[in-house]
Amino acid sequence: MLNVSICIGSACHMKGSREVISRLKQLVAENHLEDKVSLSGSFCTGNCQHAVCVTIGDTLYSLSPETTDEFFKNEVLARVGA
Amino acid sequence: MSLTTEIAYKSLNHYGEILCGDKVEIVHRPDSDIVVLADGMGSGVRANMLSTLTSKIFAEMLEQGSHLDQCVETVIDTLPNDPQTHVSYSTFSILQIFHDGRATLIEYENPECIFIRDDALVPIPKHERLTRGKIVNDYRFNVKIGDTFLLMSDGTIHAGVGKKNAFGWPWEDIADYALKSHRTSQSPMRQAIRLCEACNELYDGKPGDDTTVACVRVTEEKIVHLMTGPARNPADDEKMVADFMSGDDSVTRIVSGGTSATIVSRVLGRPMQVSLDYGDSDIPPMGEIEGIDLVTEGVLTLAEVIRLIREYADTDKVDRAYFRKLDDPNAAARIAKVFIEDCTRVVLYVGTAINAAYQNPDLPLELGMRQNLTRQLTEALGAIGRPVETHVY
Repeated sequence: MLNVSICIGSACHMKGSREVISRLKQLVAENHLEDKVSLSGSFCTGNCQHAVCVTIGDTLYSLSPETTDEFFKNEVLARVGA
Repeated sequence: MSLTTEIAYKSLNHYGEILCGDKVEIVHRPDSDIVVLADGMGSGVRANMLSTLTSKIFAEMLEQGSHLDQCVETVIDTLPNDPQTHVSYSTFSILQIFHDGRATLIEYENPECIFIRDDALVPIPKHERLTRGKIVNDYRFNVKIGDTFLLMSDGTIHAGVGKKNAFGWPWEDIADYALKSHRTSQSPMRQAIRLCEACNELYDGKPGDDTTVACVRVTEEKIVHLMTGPARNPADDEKMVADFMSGDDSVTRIVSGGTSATIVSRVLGRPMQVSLDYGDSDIPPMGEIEGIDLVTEGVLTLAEVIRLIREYADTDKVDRAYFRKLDDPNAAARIAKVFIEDCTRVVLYVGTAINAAYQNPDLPLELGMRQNLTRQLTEALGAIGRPVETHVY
């Protein structure tokens, strides 16, 4: 199971966590990856300057609602091999 | 035994009047809590001045530590009489509840206080005595946890006179209604609102008299600890968390702040889960740490908590619609609800570390203002009668 963790702390929230989360949920459903990808929340990881902070394992990604699709394609789909 | 009280009140103005002729004053003394409900004769400006005069004399004298009997004498001496009817220009009820469980109820010409104990109405015995030529009812007794009292102005018993109720709303029926609503409404404010809204319906939305209900409930101390912001010096994290966790299981513990929550989780060695469920709200979702009652994001949530508490402080505007907002499951409403309905005293644990990332000009100013927010929170809580103690790290 690939875990994608999205920060919902103050700064990330202001920069669009809500939209990022709802888009990721949608993409997971559209690609039928519910059994392979789990989405979880996290509070501040101390990287607010990179908001919205998303982590896979120990790797930190800086997303915005506009770059969510690209992130999903390059980082999530590539990892689960779909 | 150390008891305390929750006191709330709601008024309806006489139809077409801007000012209310009823006035409630609440006084917190080191030995006791006191509520005064005064009803000035007539309506509008004159009634408002008479009831304000009456309630303010009580409040000022009681705050300075005067004995209740002395206050009653002073008020009766001060109040002018109507030259035609020889009736005083203001009626009043006062309930004083001492932290050791003693209580005094003094009533002068207001409808009798409704007393609910163990899910039943308790009649208040007549102990009338003459004070300065006036007959007051004076009842001294002991209270216990859960006892609920409703003080009322006569706008309640006159509700609907000549319309829905030929002779108004009989006291016995009001008492039954209060007992039923007591079984379902959780807080004194909700109960005061339900009674006032029932009166308003009987008046067809046009009250023929100023109508006020003050509800007093006897409770145990309910202490709330709220931690927000990381300590300026990370070496103080452990001490800050230990202080925050002090006290027994009866303390409600709230962590408001992502970094603070992460610190609490690390120091206590308990994992944190963070929800992704926003519901219908714009407030960030909540987290969960075993043993912590509420775990939330910090500044945005607290700013909304402050807005909700300030709105509650404006008793003219609080109604059922307000409580629907307060019952929403979002993080800010849940914190505000604890402060408003389940709290008698607050202890804040405030960290003063500056989050460098928040100095980013792309982010709203609000984020960098934690100090300012905790000051505003303290003021808002003070305005609704919740004393606040603050520890800074």
